[in-house]
Amino acid sequence: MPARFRKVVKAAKGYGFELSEKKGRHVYKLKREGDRAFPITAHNGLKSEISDVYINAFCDQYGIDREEFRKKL
Amino acid sequence: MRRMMRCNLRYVITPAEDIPGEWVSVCLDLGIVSQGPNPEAAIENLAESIEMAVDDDFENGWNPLDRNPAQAEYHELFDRIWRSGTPVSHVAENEKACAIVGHIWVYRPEHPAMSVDAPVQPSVQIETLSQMWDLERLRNSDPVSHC
Repeated sequence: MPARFRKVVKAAKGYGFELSEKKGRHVYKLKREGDRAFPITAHNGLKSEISDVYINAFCDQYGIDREEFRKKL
Repeated sequence: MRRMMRCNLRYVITPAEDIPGEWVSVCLDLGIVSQGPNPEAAIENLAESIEMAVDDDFENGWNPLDRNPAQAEYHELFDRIWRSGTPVSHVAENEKACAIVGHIWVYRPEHPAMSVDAPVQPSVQIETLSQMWDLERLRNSDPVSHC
């Protein structure tokens, strides 16, 4: 199930991530202290639909349990 | 500390199963994902995302290639298509795409600006290698490719 970018950002904040300002045309980044940035392409800003593939990749990149993260969406 | 990076990154593009009309692009080597309304846009957006991530990693002294790679299923898909797929430019226009693979060339110079007077340039240069997987035919037709 896809999720609104707004909800993904809100859930990610629970893991210490912050949304940085857009870079380039459509790319935002989620970043937390001492960790690598995770880029997210969102054409319609916070209203964008974010694919499941993104959410899985985000969780895998930071060792976050996918199911646990989805419950927060 | 600035270091030099010069490598080919593999990508896979597939239609998004959960968002009709969208295509998802996955960089196998860096585990970075992007999306777009067509395969070309998905590649362009992936290149932009890679540029941002690589830049950020270098700014923090991290090697981008130490990022967690994409899931094994994408590597298997890439290998299968790369080995036995058909170049996009050779596929009939009425055939539907289920996956497209290719490479993105990333080059990051050791010293992007040698002096304060140097023109401002992107610190990461990215080129999409499309000779083998030509997307030109996708522009005005249904997506085509192969599995």
